[in-house]
Amino acid sequence: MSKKLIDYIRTEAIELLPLHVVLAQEALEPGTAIRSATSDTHKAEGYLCDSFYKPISRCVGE
Amino acid sequence: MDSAGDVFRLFANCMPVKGARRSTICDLQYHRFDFIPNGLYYILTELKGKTVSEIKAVFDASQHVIIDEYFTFLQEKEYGFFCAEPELFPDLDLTWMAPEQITNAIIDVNEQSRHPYESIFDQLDALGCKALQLRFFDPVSVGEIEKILDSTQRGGLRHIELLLPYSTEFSDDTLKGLCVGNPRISGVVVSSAPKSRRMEVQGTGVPIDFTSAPCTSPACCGETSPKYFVINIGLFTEAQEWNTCLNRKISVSVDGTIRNCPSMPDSFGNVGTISLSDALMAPQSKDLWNIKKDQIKVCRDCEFRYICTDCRAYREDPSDLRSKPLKCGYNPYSAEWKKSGEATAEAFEVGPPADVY
Amino acid sequence: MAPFLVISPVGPSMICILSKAHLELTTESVMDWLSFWRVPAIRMNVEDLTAASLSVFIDRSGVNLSWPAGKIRFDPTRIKVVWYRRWGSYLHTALNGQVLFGDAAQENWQDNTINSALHLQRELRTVSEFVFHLLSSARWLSDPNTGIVNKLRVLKLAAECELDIPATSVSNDRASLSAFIEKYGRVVTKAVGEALICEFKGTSFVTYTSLVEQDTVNDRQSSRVFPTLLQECLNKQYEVRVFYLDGLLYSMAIFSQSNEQTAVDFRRYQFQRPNRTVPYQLPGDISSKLTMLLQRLGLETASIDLVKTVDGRHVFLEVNPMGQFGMVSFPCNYHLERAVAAALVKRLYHE
Repeated sequence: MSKKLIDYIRTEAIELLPLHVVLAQEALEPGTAIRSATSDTHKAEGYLCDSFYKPISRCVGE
Repeated sequence: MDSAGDVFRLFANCMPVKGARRSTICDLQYHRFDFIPNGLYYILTELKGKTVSEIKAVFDASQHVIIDEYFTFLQEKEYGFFCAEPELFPDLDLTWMAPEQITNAIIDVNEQSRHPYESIFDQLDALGCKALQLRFFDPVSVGEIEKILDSTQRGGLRHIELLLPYSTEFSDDTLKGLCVGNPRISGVVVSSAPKSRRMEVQGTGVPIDFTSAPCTSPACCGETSPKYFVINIGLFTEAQEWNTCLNRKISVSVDGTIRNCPSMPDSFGNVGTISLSDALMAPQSKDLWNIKKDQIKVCRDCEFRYICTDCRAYREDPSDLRSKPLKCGYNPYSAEWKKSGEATAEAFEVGPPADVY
Repeated sequence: MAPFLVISPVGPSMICILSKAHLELTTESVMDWLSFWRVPAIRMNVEDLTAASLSVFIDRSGVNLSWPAGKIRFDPTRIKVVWYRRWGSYLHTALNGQVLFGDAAQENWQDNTINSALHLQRELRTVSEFVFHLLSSARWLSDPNTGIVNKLRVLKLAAECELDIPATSVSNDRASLSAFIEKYGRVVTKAVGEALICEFKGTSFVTYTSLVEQDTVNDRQSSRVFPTLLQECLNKQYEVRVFYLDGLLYSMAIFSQSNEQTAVDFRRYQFQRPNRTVPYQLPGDISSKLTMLLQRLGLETASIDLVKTVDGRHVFLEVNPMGQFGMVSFPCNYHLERAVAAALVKRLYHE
């Protein structure tokens, strides 16, 4: 992981995480949070899939 | 109408936006807007916190009837209320924040594409991306789509949009079945269809739109029309500081190249050889993310600028990165649309409520 | 495709979130922030008690807990912070769709069914409590063991903190209830504790706050009734919903539907237009009294309901340590999910 991406995360987390943690994260693979598998599949069950808050592209005119 | 000491307070989620010729009030909660004269915009902003009498004192007596009409309009349309303690009702915080490095992605597919879908979806998960649009420019079967979507069943994507060219295989039942089998699909658009119409999947309400317009390459993107206006907190706040289309977006073109969007000229590598996150390390990969409407020519004087998604790829002046979107037919200096279709408050259609929690 | 699960090698410290699996968007949003910040977090759902693989070994050498999240095992001693977001409905998890004592003609069917259901509930509760005990050295946010949640005690304390409260009576005496209605005119009733939920033909029915007429009470045959709560019904200008976290109050005002005649035509809405929700700022004295109340209740986070009356009073109604805050966060753009994630991180690294 290069410096640029770390800086990007750092601007968010720098006030919250101690420096030794921020530095240690340089060795990490992304997606570190562990989520229970059952909760992942349930993202698509039990609630209606709503659309994203804005158009992702605008390909079709009026 | 109001007691002497009362002050008119717009609801915090009703935002006045000033344009060159006229202004809008954007109701971020109910997803609607109305045009208001710039005079009323002045009253609501510069004279905010004053009583009606104090406001009238600023204007000539001949204007007083109009001022009363303004407040009647605002009350009847429920954009605000008279209140004795305006200090209890603060403004809406307009900070936009998102816990994802990439919030949305586009993957373009044609017959020649050989995308490593599983790997791409894994990488999007790692970047936190939850919204994906798959655009198919050549005929594709439902079976092929299902195969591609198979690996999303255990991933983090929550909104998957499909753009497909019409095929006789796409019966209503087949498409509905596709959506029911893949609950992450939040919308389908079928282009080059014989007839334009909208269908909804029973139970979930997922929209399937058939449109006669063709869409065979990224060049068809960049449309700007009232049809694409979005009036909600998410877009309005993002528009304050960020580019409403390209911010935290990444795309994979039909040939596997990684770009800000498939219509942008610069490529940051190929998905076959480098990862998305490595592509994001390219120095210029995020340069366009923070070109906001207030910096774009013409747009910065337009009353729709915070409810309209921008396009940096197709610009009126291709040599100027801050030139207005090419496909926008609106002139805020004359309040006129070049193409047909006046953007009146009644004429446009808003999307389904995005904030039902 | 690999499951979306990676073990973090970062230090020994992790956050554990206790939740349920379905319809917990807030939990997922908080985890999105933790994931964005690369903070290791693991989630346990109440359904895991019967759905995931759980083993607790107790012998002379000590206790060993194995609760793999999906296909990954983790070491519970690495959990330094626990967020008790939601748990409960042991009954649902226990029954898991089964029918106990299916034959209604059997002797004592009703009692046996009830007792069996209660038994299974207690079994799961006991197991849960032991697992929570194994995590007791962690720093908990919303600890179910501390914190006063009895609604009657909360009202008493609120009054002691000089907050305005609605006049409330709990009585089993018909005459006393009648006199209360006589005195206060418009009166409501609701559960003293949690509401009752019953399901008929796939639809859930919940007991909710409802107006009580004098006739309803006087028509009772007996002068002795089940202990019933009555509360004066306030003449409300708007409602106020507050989310409290670590000394900060985030408020929202809710304006009920105004006059039908003036309602604007919203063609897209098939249902009634939702109430207007806007950010709110409580007056300073109310804020301090509320903060004091929450401290005295031993709560670091909670949802609070108040009513602003027509005559200008802010009246405290109730506190819910596990209340939904998404409905305050979203309309007011408060980013409370981020605030909660930050509070968990603060407890993990800075305390």
